[in-house]
Amino acid sequence: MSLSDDSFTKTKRKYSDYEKDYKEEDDADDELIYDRFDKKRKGEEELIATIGISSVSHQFRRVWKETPNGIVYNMIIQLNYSFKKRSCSLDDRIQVANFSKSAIIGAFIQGESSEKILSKTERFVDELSKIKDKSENFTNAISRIDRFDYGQDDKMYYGASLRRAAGFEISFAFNFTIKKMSAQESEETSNSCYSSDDEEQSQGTKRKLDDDDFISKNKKQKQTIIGVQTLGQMPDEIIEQIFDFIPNRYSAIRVSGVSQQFRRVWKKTTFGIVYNMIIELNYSFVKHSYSLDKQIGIGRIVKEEINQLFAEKEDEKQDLFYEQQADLLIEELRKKENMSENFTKALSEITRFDYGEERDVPNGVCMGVSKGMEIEFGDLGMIRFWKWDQIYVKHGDSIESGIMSESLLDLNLTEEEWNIIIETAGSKADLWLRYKNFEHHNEVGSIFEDHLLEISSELW
Amino acid sequence: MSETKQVELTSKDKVSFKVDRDVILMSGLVKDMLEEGDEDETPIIPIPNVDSKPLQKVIEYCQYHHKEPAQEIEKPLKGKIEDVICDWDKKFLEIDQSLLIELIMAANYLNIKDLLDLTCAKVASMIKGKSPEQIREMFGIENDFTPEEEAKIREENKWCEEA
Repeated sequence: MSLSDDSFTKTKRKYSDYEKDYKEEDDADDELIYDRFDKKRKGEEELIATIGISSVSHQFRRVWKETPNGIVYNMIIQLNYSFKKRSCSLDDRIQVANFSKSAIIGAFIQGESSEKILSKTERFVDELSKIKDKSENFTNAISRIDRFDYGQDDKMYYGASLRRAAGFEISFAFNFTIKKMSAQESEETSNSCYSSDDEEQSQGTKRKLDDDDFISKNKKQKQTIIGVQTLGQMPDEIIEQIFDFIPNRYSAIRVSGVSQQFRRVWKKTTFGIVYNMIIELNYSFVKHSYSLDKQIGIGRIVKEEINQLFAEKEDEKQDLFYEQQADLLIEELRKKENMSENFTKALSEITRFDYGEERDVPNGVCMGVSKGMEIEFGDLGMIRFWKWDQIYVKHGDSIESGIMSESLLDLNLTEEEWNIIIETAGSKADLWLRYKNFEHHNEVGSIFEDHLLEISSELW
Repeated sequence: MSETKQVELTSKDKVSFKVDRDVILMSGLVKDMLEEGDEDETPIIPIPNVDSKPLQKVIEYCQYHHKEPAQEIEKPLKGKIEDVICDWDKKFLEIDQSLLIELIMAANYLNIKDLLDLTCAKVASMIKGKSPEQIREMFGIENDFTPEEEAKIREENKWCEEA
């Protein structure tokens, strides 16, 4: 879903309806409004509706921005700005989407399973503790177990076959004491850290410049700066250019901890925007005491939103590719000699040439290979050939089909001319095709399938 | 045979470089300045923000890539920078860090996109895999975070490091 200005128009209700609903809450405090937003969380339509509510007043918008939905939508808005600013290619956008999805899944799956894993770990440690005559080292080792997980998956694909996978993991904390301390430290600092806004953030984490250690540390580091030739003295725009090249998200995240400038610049990068959304969500969950189930619910919504937003980008990329393929096909067909005027005219109608092969396509209980091609002639319709082969069985079934839109008959091409188009497309797509089925399209006018005219179909 | 038109560039430290006009047109800044001037003369263009050492490297880059256009470097880097740039660029980048930083500034000022991309990608590859402390040490960057801020960042980054 793209969050453009017309997002609100996608809702069935009008802005004025929301304004009316919430009129009585004009003087309500932020928490009350937050609760109302929170109740609007379920279902996609209601999700979109919250965008409408956010337009009611400045206060509503401010509170909405702190809700999980608001945080997610704002991330998408910022991402769109960032893509535009950088003139990001579709590939770049898709890569960010993949990062977003994996980061979100990573963040929320952890939450989903953490309770179960904790319970498994406790039971496991209890069991081990019951063992008698343990050595000191053994006892020490048990005390360092911080995670025990096990499970099995009965339907795991391995190549083309289904297999059962089972396993377990025991994780030992390298230095459990340190880890425990780190958790305490975070608890102490978490209240002062929360904010989605840079300005608020700087207020929340007011610097303690009277800290002697910190000052001496800085003095020592200043001595290492060589004249003006340092990365730290470069303008934000150049640092941003450098960050665009940083190869993986872990390195990208690490740079955010180098300096205030690096953090500021990093927050504007596409990865930084996504990562910050997750940080803000985590703060929002803590602030509003979200249960694990509620957090998981938000995680699912975020994944759906990201998937939907970037599925469009994937489609756009695919469309672009097949439009280019159409151009190549037309170029190839124009080389043919002695073609009629109708043929030349028909070529100019080709808008898309799509072909592909997909292995391991489940068809009922079997696995197979599906391959085919489509030539689209704009609004006139398309020609489609496809074949499905069952694999890994000696005498497997095959289904093949050739379909043509009825309106394409208006192009008045001869059978020979249609064959030239299909054969050329087939050879470019490197596909196996049963051209012999494509004989007399006028003879099959009685078989319809949606807007398409079935010209041949056979099941062995 | 007509003589190649030249341009004279004067660096911040008052060193002059004569360079073929076609070569230095790779610089967006110089190109804009030349469009405004008289084509018949050998124009003298002051480059007040760039020292002679980086300017010489910029000219060297333009002289080579004027004939051999640089390949676009994908963002972000897919692997090692050495795998995506030509041998000449690899040798060109065998410079000390301060000159590399000066070159980035020069490429940005002179508006030479390919050189800016190359040098920025080099720095990005140097950053890859380093901890914040190592990055600070390598590039002489001041740690201006308070201990509280550092603790907060560590805490915020934890989920990612553990994922």
